[in-house]
Amino acid sequence: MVKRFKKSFIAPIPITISTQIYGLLPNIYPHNPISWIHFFVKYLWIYFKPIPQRSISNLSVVFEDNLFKVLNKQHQERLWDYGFFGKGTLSRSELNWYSSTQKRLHLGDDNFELSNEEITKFRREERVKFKKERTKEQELELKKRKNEISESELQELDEIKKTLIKFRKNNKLKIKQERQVPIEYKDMRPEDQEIIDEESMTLQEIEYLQLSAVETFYLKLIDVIDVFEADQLTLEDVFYKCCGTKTPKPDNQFILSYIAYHHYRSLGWCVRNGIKFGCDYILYKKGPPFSHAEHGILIITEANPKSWTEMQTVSRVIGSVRKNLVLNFIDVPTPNELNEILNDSDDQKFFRLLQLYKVNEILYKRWIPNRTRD
Amino acid sequence: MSLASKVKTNLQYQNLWTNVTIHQVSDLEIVSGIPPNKLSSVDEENQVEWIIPKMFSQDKLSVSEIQNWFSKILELSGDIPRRITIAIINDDSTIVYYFIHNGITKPNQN
Repeated sequence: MVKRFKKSFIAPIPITISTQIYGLLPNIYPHNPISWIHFFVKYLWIYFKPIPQRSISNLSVVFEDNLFKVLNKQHQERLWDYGFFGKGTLSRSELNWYSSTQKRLHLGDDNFELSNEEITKFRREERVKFKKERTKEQELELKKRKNEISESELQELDEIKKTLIKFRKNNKLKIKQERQVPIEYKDMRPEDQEIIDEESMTLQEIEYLQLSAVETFYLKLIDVIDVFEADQLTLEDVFYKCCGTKTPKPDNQFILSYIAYHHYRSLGWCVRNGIKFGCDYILYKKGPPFSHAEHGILIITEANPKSWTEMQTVSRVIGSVRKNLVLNFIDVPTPNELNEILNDSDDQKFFRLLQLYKVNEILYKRWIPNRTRD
Repeated sequence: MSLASKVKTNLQYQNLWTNVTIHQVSDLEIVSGIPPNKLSSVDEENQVEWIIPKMFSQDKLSVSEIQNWFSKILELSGDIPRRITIAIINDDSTIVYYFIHNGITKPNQN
């Protein structure tokens, strides 16, 4: 199996810093004056060089149909490589619908790299095979207990038991990929024919990168994207579009989600949506390609507390996927405090808005007295 | 793009369903389609599935709303399905699917 590790971690946000281009600053050894000189020379050299981020134009985001879309290929790649922002609309996270569809229909060059989706699919197929064998085993076992089993069936049972042991032991994936003959246009599903040009057999790209509201506002706040509707939207426009109203209340759903999002992003975490696990966010140390998310975040406010049943439910789901549940309590300002800041006319007001909210965290973990002894 | 068409695209091109159709019943959009394989091991064979698209929000889901989905599907197909699927769409384009059964079902081995 070709596992993909070609991606290396570049940066937590889409900003290119000087040392990325000009090299890291050398170490200083306090007792060695030459290392001090070396450091300052290099420091000044970088200082007088042009700032790399300035030469990179902002990434463009289109606001259409109430969604934030990134359509430019390079911009999509940069948002993904630098901090894992956005999601491919037809992929689990990274945009790979186009290449996996090409592979499925045997269009273009054979690509031997496997996407996450394909690995999952293969695992599921193995699991289905395992279950089939297991059902057979259970049927035969039942016959054996009732003493209705024949000689040949007894032999079959032995065989099945052996294969089941093999299945259980085998946790390494062996995926064989074979070069296959292209599928003819007329043999394709009508759905696929719709997006393939019969003449040139080229596949139409129907996937794009979608940014969620919190991601868009974060990227706009750190000024690395331009958002266009008919005209370019200002930071303020984006804010109100995300809030869904011109007069947001202090406990506006977007503002609360954003507070938590910004909190963890600024602490260096890669924050992704947690809908699959029944919580608000999940936190990755670096990003999805490198490790599983370690924490699930649940936002709680005073006005909207969670019941014990709800907490138990989320905690068990998060626990079963080996993550920690972090309860994120947000203290909300009064409507007056919020409006006072929103009435200001400068863009810095959004940083002051963030200061109005306070975040407290608690790690919530199920403790089983006779199992968790250490 | 309506919620239903998002779900349709997702089913057709990410999950490889066929015959995906959007039905408009009064103000409700219902999607039907055939998955590439049967969805549950207890199913006899692959069958037409009914999907209700929903935007993820803080709103609460009521029993009468679910009941309404079942009766609308009855109008469409002449039959109350044993289960329907709810497709919850998130603002980052994730769609999560959940089964809703009409009554109690026997738990099955994982």
